[in-house]
Order: sequence, then structure tokens, then C-alpha cells
Amino acid sequence: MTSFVFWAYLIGSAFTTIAVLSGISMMQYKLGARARRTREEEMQAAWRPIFAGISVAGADFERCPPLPKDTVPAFLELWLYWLSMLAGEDRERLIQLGQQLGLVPLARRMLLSPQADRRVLGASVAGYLKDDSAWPHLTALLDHGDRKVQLAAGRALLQIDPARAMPPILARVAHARGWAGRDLQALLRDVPLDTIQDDLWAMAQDASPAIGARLVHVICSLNPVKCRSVIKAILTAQPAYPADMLSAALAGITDPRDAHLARAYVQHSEGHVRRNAVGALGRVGLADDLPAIASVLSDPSWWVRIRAAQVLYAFPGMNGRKIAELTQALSDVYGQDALLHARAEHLTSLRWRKRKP
Amino acid sequence: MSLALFIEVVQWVVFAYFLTLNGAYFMLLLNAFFSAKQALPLHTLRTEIRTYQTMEPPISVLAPAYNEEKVVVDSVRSMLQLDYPEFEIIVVCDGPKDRTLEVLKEAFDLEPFAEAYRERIPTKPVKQVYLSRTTPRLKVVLKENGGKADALNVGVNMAQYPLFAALDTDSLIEREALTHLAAPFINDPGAVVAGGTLRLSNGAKFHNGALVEARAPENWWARCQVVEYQRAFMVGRLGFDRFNAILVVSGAFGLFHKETVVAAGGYRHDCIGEDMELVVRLHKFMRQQNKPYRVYQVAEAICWTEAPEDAKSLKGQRVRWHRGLTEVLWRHRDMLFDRKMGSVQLSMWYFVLFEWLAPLFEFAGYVFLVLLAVTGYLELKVFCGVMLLALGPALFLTIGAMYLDELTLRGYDTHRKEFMRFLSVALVEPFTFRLFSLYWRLIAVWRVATGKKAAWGQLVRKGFDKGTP
Repeated sequence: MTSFVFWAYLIGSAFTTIAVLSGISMMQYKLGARARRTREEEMQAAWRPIFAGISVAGADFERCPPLPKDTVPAFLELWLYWLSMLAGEDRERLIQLGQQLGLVPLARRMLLSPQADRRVLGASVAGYLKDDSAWPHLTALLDHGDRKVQLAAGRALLQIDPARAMPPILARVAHARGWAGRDLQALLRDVPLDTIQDDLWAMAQDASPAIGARLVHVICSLNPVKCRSVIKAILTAQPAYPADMLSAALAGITDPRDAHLARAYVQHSEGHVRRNAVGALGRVGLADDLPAIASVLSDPSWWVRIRAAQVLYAFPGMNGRKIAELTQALSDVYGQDALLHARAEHLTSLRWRKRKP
Repeated sequence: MSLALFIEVVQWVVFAYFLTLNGAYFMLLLNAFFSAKQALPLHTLRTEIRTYQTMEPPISVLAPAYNEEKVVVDSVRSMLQLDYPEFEIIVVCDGPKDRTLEVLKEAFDLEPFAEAYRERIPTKPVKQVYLSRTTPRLKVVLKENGGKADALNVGVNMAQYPLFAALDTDSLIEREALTHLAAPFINDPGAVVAGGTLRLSNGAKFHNGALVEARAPENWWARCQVVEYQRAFMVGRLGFDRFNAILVVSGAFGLFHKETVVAAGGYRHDCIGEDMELVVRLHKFMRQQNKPYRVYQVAEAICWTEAPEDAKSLKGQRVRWHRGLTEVLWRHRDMLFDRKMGSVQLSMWYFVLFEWLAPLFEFAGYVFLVLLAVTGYLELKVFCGVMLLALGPALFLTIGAMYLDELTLRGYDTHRKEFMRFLSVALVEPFTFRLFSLYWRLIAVWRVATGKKAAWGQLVRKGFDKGTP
């Protein structure tokens, strides 16, 4: 029994001691966190009017207080928040304030921090301040394990030098877990370059179908003119592009001159291609396309049926009587369900449109 | 074998189990600290730059409701206040017997909608779908009663977005919670599940579905559960996060990749622990397919839920939970011996040995102590040693969990007096609340062993306290 008692007391006491010490440490932390919160709120209250005065009213920022060293991350985030809301000269004044306060070396140090959030802040600040000396660090962060660090670094590089930033960014686009889609769209939206679309199209042709499709979406969101030539190239190619790319191209059709390209795919073997072909005809089709659209109301795919029904309801010239005739002629119950669903959506959206001022 | 030798052997077996159990807790606590470190915010203010702005995937929020007339409107209002760019809310009324649907109709001006229901996962029939004339994001579904899992499957079938969040209508989620929960899906294309953190709303103050003040509960049962939930989420879930071995994502608050759930077959309605069963099955499904995937725990995504404040409701809940655990572990027992399961295999063994078997060991330990006392072998110093051995690690684990809670800046808004109350609960909980918990879990084991049918029971609800606006 003796050794058991010994070990019981030893282990029990050890844990209890660590617990008590942890408890004391926790209480100190809680008090410290409360004090930090108070300081940050005071900083916010002090600097908001200063930012407003400098950016909007053009006040002299030479007389500003120094950088609040004990609340730097909160200050930076407040500064970035204000920058994101401003444009033009208002924003430039606030950026000059940042340079005045010595944020350039601070941002460079934060880029080297082991904490991901600090790196994001550092990259965001370096981008706005157009700190070219941060370029090597930012390029290295494009391969960081954390996506938000990658994106912050990408944004910063594009802010500093868009033309120089494109090659390293595009090099990462085509990876399976790389950027393609909403993140790339968000990154490239404000970049005033004409050659991006050509580079993206070249990458889309070499990438896997899934990534290629996403890149086609990005191209179409950035440049409608380039989008048309890409769509035509995909939808008329022989041999045919993979279904994902066809689908993406059909989703990008907005020009009535391209309606003939969509017609050819209404009976494609893949459901998502048929769905997007019907959707395209809904946007740019003619009255002669109605029979083709109605024919897919009995499609085996739910998505195709619903899309066809939605297109029919929204089609110019269609009215309640014509839809009712169509519903009666339709023997497929699933097609009838789709029409009822689309009717309900249509009526709901009409009601919401009436409500808007 | 002499009695003295028998006692010696038993005490060392119990000691070895106890040491292994607390060793596992210690490892989980360490892991949790490392995971939490990455989630540590740089500051306390909430003026966050949305790094992911315009990249957030749209989400379908699913809320099954059965007899929730007191809380459902507040719950939906809190969901509508979510700070997230694109989402829809689908409330699935699972054949309620009270006025759940009626209060929703009154509050949100619902009208029938002819939805073409697409049954990808088989469910009980859907009777009617409603849209709100005033709130475009909201859809309400009335279906034949089939249980929570069936209601969720209806929601999954109706969800139009690639991710769905499963919520309880008796819960309120914080405004930024969905943004935090969606972050892993933006960061990692392989994310399939992200679980949030549950905190107890008993004692907290809400107004129009928004949290006003996070206070500790007055009720003793609820206060013990606060401490217990902190351990479960801060240690249990965060601890397993790094290993990609989280087996439980609370049914009250989790975000799922819809197509993966549909491919895996949706929620099982023949299992009382349907939330855990789905996550375990997703692990199995993805590992058998050799597809890279990840299940995340997001500490800073917070959902407030009401805990039982009376013994009867609490007993029903705990018996159900332990039964659910038993069912899931039994149903997926093949994973215990399948090397393909990797870290999940270890996690399964953890749950078998330290969650499922624990009440049996604890009970055996108490019986053993009583036997020692009755036979005169129990010396005072041995008794004190055993009590210290029970208290020390329990206290360490509880305070560690409370510390983690503070670190992720989600501590309760407690004043010193309340804080000391929490600490005192941590001290007495191993000898009070834990005994009740043990008793209820033993009841669950007994009922499973004797084949008694499981039931959901009825939680006595107070609703969310209306704080001053």
C-alpha cells in the first residue's frame, strides 16, 4: 500500500499544484486582457476623429500623436479599415500618415512573425504603403500554408507593382489547391492590365478541366470582350473540350450572337452542360428556341428541369396562358412540378420587385 | 490469492487506468493549447478586415424544429442577424404538436410555396413549404414527423448552397459565428466539416436574438455544465483537431460540405446520436475512398444553447447522450481494427476506453472503496491519497479548459465574485455533479444492455432572457 499511497500523493499533489498555478496565471491573464481591451477602446476613440480629420477634412497630420505602441495590431486594423472605406486623395492622405508614423519598418517586421494574423496585417500594410523592399518576403508568403496569408501577400504584391506581381501569382493558379475562382477574381478585379486574360486563357487550356472551368469563369467576370472569344473557342473546338469547360463557357454566354453556340449543347450527355445550355438560351435565345427548352422539362436531371422551367417563366413573350397550355400538354409529373416551382419563384420575385422603391 | 494481494492488484489496475486516462487528457490539453494559439486574436476589438471578403461560400442554414414555440422566433431572428454575405435559412418543422409553425407564420408572414422537392436522401413526406413575404432568406418546411435526423435530411435535400450549417432552434449563434466557421472551407478545399463551440445561455442576457451580456448561470446544475462544456470543447474537441480525429461535432452548431454528406448517405434516423454518427461515418467514408479531407474545430465560432436546470431533464439528456455514444461505437466498431482509419482509429479507442468504459471503471472504483472501508482495509491516508488523485487531475483539466476559454477571448463576462464561484464549482464538481453524471451514464449502459427503447424526452425550456435593450 505504501508505494501506492506515495504515488497517489505525488501525482495528486503535482496536478493540484499545476492547477493552482494555472488558475493564478489565468486570473492574471483575465485582468490583463480586460486592461488591454480598455486601452484599445481608448485608442480607437482617440484615433477615429484624427483619421476623419486627416482623410476627409485634410487636417495637418504633422501634429498627430505618435504610434500607440501598446495597441499596435488594433491600431493597424483600424487604419486598414479606414483605408478600405476611402478612395482617391482621401486615402492617399491616410497612407501618408502611415508613412509618417513609421509603419513601413513595422510592417516588414510583422511579415517575419510566426503568427499568421500578424503576417496578414504586415502584408496588408506593406501593400498600401507600396513598400518595395518587402517584395521578397511577400513573394515567399505566396506559398504560406495559410490561405489568408497567401491572399494578403498576393493583394499586397499587386498593389505595389501589378505587372511584376502577375508571373508569381499566375504560377500558383493552376495547382489543384491553388487559386482559381472567387479568390483570384477578388485579387484581380482592381488590376488594370490587359494581358491577364490571355495569360489566364493559356493556363485554362493547360490546366485540369475543373481548374480550367474556374479560370474561364474568372476570365468572363473580368473581361466580357475576351470572354466571348474564349467561349467561342471552347464551344466550337474539335475534339470537344471536357464537360466542365463546356459548362463554364455556356454559363458565360451573354451575347445574342452566341445563341447558336448554346443550341448545340441542349441535348449533351452531361446534365450540368444541358442545364447551362438552357440557361444560356434563357439569356440570349429567341422564340424559336422555346420548343427546345420545353423539351428538357422531362429531363432526368432535376437541375435541368428546374432551369428550363425558370427560363420559360422569364422568357420574353411567355405569359400565364402559354405556360398553362405547356403544363397541360406535359405528361411528365416531374416536369409539371418544375413548372409549378418556377411559377411560385416567379410570383415571389415579382412581389419583391414591386416592394423595392 | 489472499485478500491483501487482491486489493493490491485491483488498486494498481485502477491506478493504471486512471493514469492512462489522465495522460490522455493531458495530451489533449497540450494539443488544444497549440491549436488555440493559432486562433488567438491579435486584439480584442471587432473591426476586422475581411481578408476573405467576396470569397465566402454561400451557406444554407438548417434548423430542425419540434415543439419549439417558445424559442423558435428568437432563434430565427438571431440567424437573420448573422454577419455573412450570402445564406438562406431553412426551418424544418418536424410535425410539431405545439404552435411552432403558427408562431413562425405570425412572426414572418409565411405563405405557401410550390417547391419541387428533390429527394436525394430518402425522407418522410414533406407536407408544405412556406416562404416569407417579409424575409426573403427564410424558408419554412412542414413535414411528417420523423425525428431530428430526418428533418435535417429534408433540409439537406432542399439546401441550394454547397455548404450547410446544422443548427438547433433552441440555440442562438453569434453574429460573426458563420464567418469564423466558414474560414476553414476557404482556407482548405479538403474541409468537409467544421464544428463550432457551444456555450450555455442560462444566465446570459439576450435581446431580439442578440447577445447583450454573457453572465454565468445562477442555477447550480447549469454552472456545473458550463465547466463541463468548457472541458468538452476546449480540451476534447480542440485537442483532437490537430490529429484530424474529431468524432463529435455538436448537432447544435456545425458546418458541412453538402455533397460529401449526400454521398455518405445523409443523417441516419435509426440512431439517437445522429450528429456523432454522421461525423464518424464521414471519417470512414473519406478514408475508405483515400480522399484527403479534414474535420475542423473552430473555437471562436460560438453558439449559445440552453442547458437543463433540473435533474429530471438533465438525466434524460445524459442518458440519451450516453446511449447515442454506445450506439455509434457499436455501429462502427469495425473502425477500431481498421488501420486505414489512422488517427481516427486512436480517437475511437479513446472514446471506447475513456468515455464509454469510464462510468464502469468509476463505479467499480467506488464499490472497491466501499468494500475496503467495510473490510477495514481502508486507511485514512489511503483514502486521502485517492481523493487527492481524483481531485488533482480533474482540477487541472478544468482550470486548463477555463484558461483556454479565456485565451480564445471567449471567457464569460464574469466579475471576481462570479469567477470565484466558477472556481469553487471546479473544486466540488468531481464529488457532486460528476457522481450524478456517473449514475445517469450507468442507467444508459443498463438500458442498452437490457434492450430498453430510447426516447428523446422533453427539456423544460425557459427561453432566452430578454436583457435591457
